[in-house]
Amino acid sequence: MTSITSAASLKLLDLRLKHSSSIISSHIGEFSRPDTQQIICLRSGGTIDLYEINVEENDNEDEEEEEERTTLKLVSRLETRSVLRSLGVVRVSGGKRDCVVVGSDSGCLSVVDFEGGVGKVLHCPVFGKVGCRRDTPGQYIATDPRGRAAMVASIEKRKLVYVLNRDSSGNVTIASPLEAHRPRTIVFDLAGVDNGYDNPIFASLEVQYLEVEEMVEQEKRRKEEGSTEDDDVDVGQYGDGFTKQLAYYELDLGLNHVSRRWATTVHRTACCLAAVPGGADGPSGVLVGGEDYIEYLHEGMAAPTVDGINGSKPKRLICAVPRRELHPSSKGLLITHMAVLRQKKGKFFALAQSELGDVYKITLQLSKDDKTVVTGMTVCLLDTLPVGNGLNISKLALLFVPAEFGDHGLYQFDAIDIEDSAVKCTSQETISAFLASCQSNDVEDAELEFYSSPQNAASVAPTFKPTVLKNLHKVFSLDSLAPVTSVLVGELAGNEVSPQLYALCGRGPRSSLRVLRHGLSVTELAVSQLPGVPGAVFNVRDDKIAKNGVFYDRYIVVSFADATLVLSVGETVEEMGKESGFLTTEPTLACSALGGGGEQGGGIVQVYPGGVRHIQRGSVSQWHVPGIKKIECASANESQILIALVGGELIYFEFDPMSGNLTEAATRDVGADVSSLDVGMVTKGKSRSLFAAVGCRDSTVRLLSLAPGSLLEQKSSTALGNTRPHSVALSTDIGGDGGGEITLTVGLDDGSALRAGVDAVTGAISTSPSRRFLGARPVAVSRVVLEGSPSTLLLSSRPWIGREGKGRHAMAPLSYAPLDHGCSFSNEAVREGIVATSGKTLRIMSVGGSGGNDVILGAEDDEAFNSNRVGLRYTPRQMCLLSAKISESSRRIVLAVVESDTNDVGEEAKKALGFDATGKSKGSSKKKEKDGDGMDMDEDSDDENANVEEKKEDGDENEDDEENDAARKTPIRGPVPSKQGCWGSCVRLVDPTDGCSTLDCVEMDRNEAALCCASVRFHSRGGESLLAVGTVTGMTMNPLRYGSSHVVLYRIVNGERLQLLHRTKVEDGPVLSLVHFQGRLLVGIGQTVRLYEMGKRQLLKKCELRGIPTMVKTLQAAGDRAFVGDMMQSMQFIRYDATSNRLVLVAKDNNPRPITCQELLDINTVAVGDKFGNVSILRLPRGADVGAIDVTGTRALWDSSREDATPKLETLCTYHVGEVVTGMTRASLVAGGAESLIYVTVTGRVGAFVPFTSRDDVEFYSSLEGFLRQDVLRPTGRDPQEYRSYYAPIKHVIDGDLCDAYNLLPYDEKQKIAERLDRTVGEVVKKLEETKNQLL
Amino acid sequence: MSNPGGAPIHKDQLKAKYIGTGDADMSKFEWVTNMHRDTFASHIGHYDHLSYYAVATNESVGRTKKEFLEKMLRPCGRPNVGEKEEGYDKLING
Repeated sequence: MTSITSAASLKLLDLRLKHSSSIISSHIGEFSRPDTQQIICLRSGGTIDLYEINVEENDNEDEEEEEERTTLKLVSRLETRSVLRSLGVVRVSGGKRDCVVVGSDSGCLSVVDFEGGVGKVLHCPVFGKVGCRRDTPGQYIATDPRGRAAMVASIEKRKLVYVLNRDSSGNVTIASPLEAHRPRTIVFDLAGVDNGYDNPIFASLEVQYLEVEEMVEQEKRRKEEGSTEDDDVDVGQYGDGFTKQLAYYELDLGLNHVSRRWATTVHRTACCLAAVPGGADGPSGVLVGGEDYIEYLHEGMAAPTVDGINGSKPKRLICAVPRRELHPSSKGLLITHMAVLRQKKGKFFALAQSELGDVYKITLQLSKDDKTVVTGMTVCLLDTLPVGNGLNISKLALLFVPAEFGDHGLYQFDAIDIEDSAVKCTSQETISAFLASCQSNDVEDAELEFYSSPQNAASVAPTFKPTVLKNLHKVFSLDSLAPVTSVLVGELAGNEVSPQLYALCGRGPRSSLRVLRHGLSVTELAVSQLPGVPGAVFNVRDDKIAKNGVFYDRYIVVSFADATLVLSVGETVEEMGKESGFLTTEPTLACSALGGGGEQGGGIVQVYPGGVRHIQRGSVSQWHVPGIKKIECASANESQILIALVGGELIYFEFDPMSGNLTEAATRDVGADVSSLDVGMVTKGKSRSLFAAVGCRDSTVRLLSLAPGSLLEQKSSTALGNTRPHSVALSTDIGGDGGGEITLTVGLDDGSALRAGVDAVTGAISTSPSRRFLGARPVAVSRVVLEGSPSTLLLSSRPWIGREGKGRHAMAPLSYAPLDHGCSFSNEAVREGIVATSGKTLRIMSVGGSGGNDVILGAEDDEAFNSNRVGLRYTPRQMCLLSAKISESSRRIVLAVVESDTNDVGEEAKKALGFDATGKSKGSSKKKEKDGDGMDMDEDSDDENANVEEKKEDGDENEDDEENDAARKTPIRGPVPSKQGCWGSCVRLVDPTDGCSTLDCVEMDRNEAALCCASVRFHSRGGESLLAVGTVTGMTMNPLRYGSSHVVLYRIVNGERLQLLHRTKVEDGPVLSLVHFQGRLLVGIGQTVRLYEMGKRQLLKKCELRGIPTMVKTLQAAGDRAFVGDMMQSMQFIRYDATSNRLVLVAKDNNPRPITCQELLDINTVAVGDKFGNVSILRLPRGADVGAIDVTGTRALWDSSREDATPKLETLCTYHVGEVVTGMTRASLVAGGAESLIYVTVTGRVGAFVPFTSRDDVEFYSSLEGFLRQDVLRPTGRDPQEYRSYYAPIKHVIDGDLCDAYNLLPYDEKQKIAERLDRTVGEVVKKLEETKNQLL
Repeated sequence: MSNPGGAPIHKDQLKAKYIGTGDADMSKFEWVTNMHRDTFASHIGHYDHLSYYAVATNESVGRTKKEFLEKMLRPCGRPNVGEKEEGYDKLING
């Protein structure tokens, strides 16, 4: 990267490779059209995604049962460029669809309508200042269930109510806000109470605190009274001096004002609300979830009817929550989310999820006489799911859980009336237990006190052991990388063309190491050997049209140098003999079925060097080439055949559907040898393709007309410079208007592909074709079908797929071996497949087939990555590469990963406690009910559970059961220790060449946590690569305490096993970073950086530098310099002075940045990511370190104490990514490509900073960004530039996301911007594409 | 500062309207409390910050958010009064 940093100013372009995958909030509704089930998701990083739940029914004739395939399909994506905080869904009265209300940091409330799948901002009223401030509303949104109003609240004080209505023409109107502020009030949750058609009521869970003056007064009083009783109560527990209230805010529609109508004290640990249906549908009121209990509350509700032993009457309707067997009784169990589903006829139930992931079903018992009186509550265990950020229940009996970390899941209910069989607790039992212990007369206080102790809850609630899913099964999972803790790029697999991206993802039992490869995943369906190396492969479709309106293939024709092999496609693929009618003793140049299908099939045409053969119902007619000429190349579709003879003579045949014969229609000499031909495709409803493309050896591609009036007339041509065309293809994208856009794709001899638009009327080739290098071999192009739309298959030294989608052309490699020839393939089992040859093999495969989990190219505007995952035991923290010696001569690259989890116990301790991570205890699997209709399984249940390390216990289970198991496996969090500072941790050695299989895994015991690792080669040990691991024992983070910290050294034996060399205890703080430094080990220990040499029994301290401001978080080294990232005070550059064996501070940064990661760009420049989601690039001013060390050493000694004498780092670039950047690496994603800075974020985004190499590019992008800042849609009203300058003004970085938004603008705006840039629209789009192509 | 009419706004009014507003006579305790409340509010508002802390402490995001909200009530403990009564004003006001 020296080339970029040596320029006077560094300019970067931020490009997104993968969207952030965390979902902040989600909701099910009908957004784009009525009677659909769609999920709206707020994604971290400012995107609003709309997914549709698709249930396809696959009726396979062979199998008796109908299979359902449930998938989520992205309908719409809206980039807001703001911090999204909350989501509300409202069906404004009189509407049939739901609108979305979004709260963000913009100080506006935006009402978005997704009519027809296009996000449109209806209203965006401004109410406050920008930012996530405590008094800026937007943190909570609640909507009236009847769609009349929405309340938007801030964390503290402010609540605004907007009245929603429709005007006479049916448009949604929004009134000016009504205030319901309450000073010094912290809001925990907000819900819209279902009140029928009475005045709308909003319920708020809130606590009011005292003003400082009052606090001081209160404190003085307390001191005078000498009361110290609640001194040791933590805030948030009962007795801390605060009362939590549930308050009803009523919007009086008549008077048009909001008042605080009613409030009651609730359980101190309450934290979430859910509204119970009201009006005619139910009793109204709210459910309040907190630690250990769920309570039902409503204004004017009747007291529970359980009578006390000593006459005391309970006031609360509250129910304990079943607990896990191993959950300590001293720890509360927090309910974090609840959701209510209305069923038919006034029936409803609620689901609640605990912080451990257990999902409970809540049912309310209503009085028989009066359906508005709640008499009791039952809470029973449904299943254990990954911990989510919400529960979305669909009417299709599906449950969507957006996981806070790891993949999001869509689950199907198998059973819901589970009250009789499940582990459950009732309000009756809970209240009786309270009454039994109740002595005081002041019931209200006694109740609160009783319910505040987890021990009491533990004595009431039944316990259970989490197992596999029993009442749900997983039908679909949405990929999520979050949280990514580290990233590494390299070609480590050993046999692939381009580097892979290794990312440490997930948390706890869902942790994984993922290997991301750019490209689409391929499912290999069949491989068979061929007698020789084929020269071409074709498919011939069947005459009969299949049931679903698609043609399946009848033959696969493989052409060899002197023979043709015909394979028939049926149940199996079999070789055909003479009966096919093909000439099998000659190679085939082209073949196709003729006619539009149906009864009178047109037969099959085969072109061989000597002529054209028309095979029709057993009879064969031939046309021979006149003279001794040979056919050089040919192309055929359903009705047209074009052949080129040696020398450049073209002959065109057309199929006459009336007579069923082929007729020679025209000839023409193009004057140059033809190397490739394509007659294009016949689109539905047309009888012929109007153009043919001809690639000639004089380096031109010509477009000829095939229209009846002007047969073989040249319409246009394009010169290719000094390369020759190898193959051509014309594809027609069927547009919505039926017109169709024609694209010419040319595969060139030099390994690149050219793509140009063709005018459908004039046949003119567009003047700005885009060209991309694909590989080292000439590119073969053919048309294939992907998800029903035409795409191109491009084969070079790597196979690629190109596709149009959402206003841009997307191109991605296939993660598969190199292929020589290919074409599309379709039969009953594989609707959209590819048949291709590679060497002497024939392969049938389908693209992106594995469970629909991949990003299908062009469907989302992400780059296509496919990922392999390897399960890990704990949250991965860091990884490093080691080159391990196997023998004297050979070495092997292995990957070391350190994993650790706080608030968890080690593997041994878990076993001792009787915890079974697989969740498959024998007893539970027997309990599994096998009820018929509920169990029919989805065929594509993918095994997302990363923690699955266990072998299948029961070998005799058949395949169905195995699939079943995969959908029922669920990650279960280990037992929570009762005290802080417990850790589970291990060090793992992984072999990247063998699919990242684990070579060795060393569990750390004694409560020790491995937090960092590095490869180190001590010069004193002859340069052997050793693994150094920094560990801390018994660390608690708040407050920071720890037992001891160590640096542990491991040797890699035979490249496969870890051998402990020694452990060195280090003083002064926890070890968070290590780095190899000039043949020694540099360790960051608390505020100290220390240099160690290898010793026999332990490491030997060589020298140290104390006084790093807070704590060393990151370390890197280059030459004699080390780069230290401080936890709060940004970067410090230090230098090792070998003559006096000292470490000297060379320079530091002016700005306080809480560093999370760093990456060296060159010896003077470092890129850092901080906790606020900024990325900055810092550079040491020229000559700054010269003065730091002088020969005598005295100057540095005296100067270093002076703050102002230390040189300060210059900030070259600043950019707000919007999510905490957790890892960065400098790498190129294609072999031999330019380097860029790849970063990952805690919410799963993968992006790259690409340095600009030319001034023209900088100018183009700067001005494009400038225009787009003005013109781009602002769904939340946030200014894109302000957002990217969140904490510091954006500097020298261009927002590539924003520039990409150009593709989404309406055409006239595109045109306007392009004009101002002095380019055409095509050129701008091409430029954007090219920049991305350079990266990948 | 004054109203459009010219009448000066009392600083208490200002404080009531714009929470977290400081003034010259503010005690250190009050200032620190305000700072902490603002910080927590920012963490709660930014989902990525919340999840960063959740990963670090191995708690669920919901629990992390709730703890932060609770901490906003009394982020810096109780004000220091009592034995140091005489020196208190001097101490907290610098």
